[in-house]
Amino acid sequence: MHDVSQEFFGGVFSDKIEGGRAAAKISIHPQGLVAETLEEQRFEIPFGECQLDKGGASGRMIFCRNTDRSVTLFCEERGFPKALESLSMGAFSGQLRTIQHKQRGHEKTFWFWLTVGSVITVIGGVIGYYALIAATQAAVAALPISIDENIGSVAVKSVDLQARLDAGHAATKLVNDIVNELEPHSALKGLNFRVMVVDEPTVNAFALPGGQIVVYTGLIKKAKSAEQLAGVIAHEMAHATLRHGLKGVGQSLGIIAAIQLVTGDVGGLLALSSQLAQESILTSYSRKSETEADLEGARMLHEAGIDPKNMADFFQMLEKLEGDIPNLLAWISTHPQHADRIARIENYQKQIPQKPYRLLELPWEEVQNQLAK
Amino acid sequence: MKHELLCQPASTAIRFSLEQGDELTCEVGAMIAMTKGITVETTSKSRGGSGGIMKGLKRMFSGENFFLNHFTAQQPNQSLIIGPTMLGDCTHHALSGGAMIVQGSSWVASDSGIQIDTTWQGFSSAFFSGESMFWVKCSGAGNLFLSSYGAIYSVEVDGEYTVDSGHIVAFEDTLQFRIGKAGKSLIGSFFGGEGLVCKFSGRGTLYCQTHNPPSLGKLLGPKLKPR
Amino acid sequence: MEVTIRNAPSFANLLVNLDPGDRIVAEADAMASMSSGIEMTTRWNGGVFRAIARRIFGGESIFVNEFKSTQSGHIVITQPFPGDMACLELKGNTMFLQPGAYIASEPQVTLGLGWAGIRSFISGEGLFRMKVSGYGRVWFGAYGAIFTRQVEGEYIVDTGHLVAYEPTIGIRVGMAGGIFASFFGGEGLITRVNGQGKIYMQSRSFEGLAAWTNAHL
Repeated sequence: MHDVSQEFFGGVFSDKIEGGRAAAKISIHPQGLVAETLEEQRFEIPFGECQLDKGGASGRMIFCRNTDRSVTLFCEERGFPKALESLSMGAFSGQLRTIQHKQRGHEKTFWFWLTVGSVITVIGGVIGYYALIAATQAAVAALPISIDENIGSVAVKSVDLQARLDAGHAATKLVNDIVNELEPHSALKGLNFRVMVVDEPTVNAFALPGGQIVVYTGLIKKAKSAEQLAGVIAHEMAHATLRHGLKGVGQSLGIIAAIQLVTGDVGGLLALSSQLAQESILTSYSRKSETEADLEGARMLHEAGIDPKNMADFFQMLEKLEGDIPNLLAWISTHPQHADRIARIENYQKQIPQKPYRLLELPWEEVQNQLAK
Repeated sequence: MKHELLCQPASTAIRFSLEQGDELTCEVGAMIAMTKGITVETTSKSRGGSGGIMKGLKRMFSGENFFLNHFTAQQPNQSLIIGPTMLGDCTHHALSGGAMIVQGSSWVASDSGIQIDTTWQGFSSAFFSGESMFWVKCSGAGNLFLSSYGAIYSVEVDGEYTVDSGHIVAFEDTLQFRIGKAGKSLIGSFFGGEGLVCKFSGRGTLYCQTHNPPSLGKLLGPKLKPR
Repeated sequence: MEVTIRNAPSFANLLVNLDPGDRIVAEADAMASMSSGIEMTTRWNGGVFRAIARRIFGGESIFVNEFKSTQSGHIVITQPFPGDMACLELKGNTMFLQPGAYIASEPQVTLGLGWAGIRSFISGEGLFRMKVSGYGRVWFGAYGAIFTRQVEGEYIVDTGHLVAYEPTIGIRVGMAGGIFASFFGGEGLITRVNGQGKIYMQSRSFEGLAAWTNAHL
């Protein structure tokens, strides 16, 4: 007689079934396990022949195999293990305990290796970070300048050139003259500096790899003197002579490559962390490159006989203005922490030998008048 | 209800011929075309799981709803064509009382004999498999339709079988799934690019796909400009 | 060892049936699934430093995996993008493969590295190209379908579409029109092939996909 509570829903594997597997009602009889499929095929495994195992996708499925492995019954219901224990009169207690143990063992191993793996990844990441920066610097230093020029000439095409002032304009000539004053003191010989002035109210200026310099009239108008403008231009030229653009590109290529280099393609977790690493390395890198450009620019100004304080004055002025007119100050927004930079330039000045500075004899007033039109 | 797989293996679509009263449940957005004697009703099931260490990970606990479209033929001789989103294949599996664990994005359709459980938590070890955490458990007796990115192939597992992460489509619930290393050494597994793989053990049917979307993304990603 | 190319030309993959003792070498992360009883060992692809250089500048993985079976079994080997695959039988000759094209080879085939030139790097093709030589079969794949041409003299292939070619063919990257669409996008670049020999091309290019996607971002 079947006690309803001893009937469970499960399945059976057997070559005698069409398709190899079928759903079945599993019942626990005094002498063993019985499975009955919907097609009314019946399979029996006496207790003495049962081999238990635990598995399945949920990890809770109990499998009962007979000794020649021709029939396997399985059931996932919660009450099944308990019913097996009680109704089998002790035939399974030993086996059930073993399989519980095995499962817990597996879980422990997994968590152990996960922890070890994470620790190794973090340590490796920190070491790799520093190694990568050093390696990229060295690699870039070895590349010829022609590569900078190639990159620069590609990038300049993406600058909107419609508002470009022609070479004869007073502003273009002014910037050219300033560049000519500074160029002899450039640390990187062989760079061909070219000037472009764009007529837009943006307060911005930038240097592209290879020596192309772009200055917006908005910035020229904001500067109080030719010496202040020279300060900004010296800073931008320093970016080109220090080859920051190339280093930045090399860095972003290198980061992706380095992480894949070390770890292979392992999936979402590492892709995410490589992206984070890339962003954090690049942002901290550009802060560092800004500092370098400040100091190198100050040096160029000093050698050219122009007071580096002009650079600091310009930053200070822009900083004061920032509160009033945020949108125009594109230059400042990419160069954070002005107070630090001003202090840094002033510190630099204290260290260098004093020398008399001169004023640039350039038609500053006239250029401002021309631009005001 | 009869079904027919068209345009295999890259752009597979499934055409169903429905008699009056036949019902089919499909993922939202799968319908390509249908005759006018079919009505559609949309229901939603909540997806994802509960707490535990997984809590807080946005990926798993978006609390999104999983929307289903139920198609019912109100007249005889109706026809419905459905297809999945990604380029790839579809396949049919007949469930007869057991259960199939299906990758969330691989489930396309099933008929009314199959219960769909979207709250199946799975196993903690799947977290690092690189698979999406959303699995659908389909149980009962009826026709189940799966889709893939790439071509689908099935493997009758009896013992052990290894599948690289991203290539699992669906597997019978009698199979156990564990994360393991591909090679003998841990370091070798990572350097070899395979990293962690999924090892299936037990007996049952396993469906795999030949390609995985993240690989294409990884190659394409660095070439794309930042937004 | 029996190898079949399945599901070509859209989602080509290799079904490798191994007898005990058989071995096959494949690029990293190419395995989709495999039976138990197959061991995977990882080794450097052509020497440590070249392997690293190849990775940074060539886009090829540093490592290759060697699969060896102790029992009978099968491996399904795939490539990261949808497309076709082809098999080359090397009989002591050499072939050049563009980065990313190599999928798998028999263990007796030598995998080497060749210099592709700076212009190739700027065009996004990578500084290095893979050189396969020796005796045995090599499987390579492409994004899109693969088609071949017997070249005699000069021929022009849009950069990004060249997959494999015999070493009797010289390649030179040049500009088609003169305007770059993006930094290393390589748009507007063409490859001039010159010489006598067979070249393999693919019907789609990754750069094309990237450019299209960029335009829609």
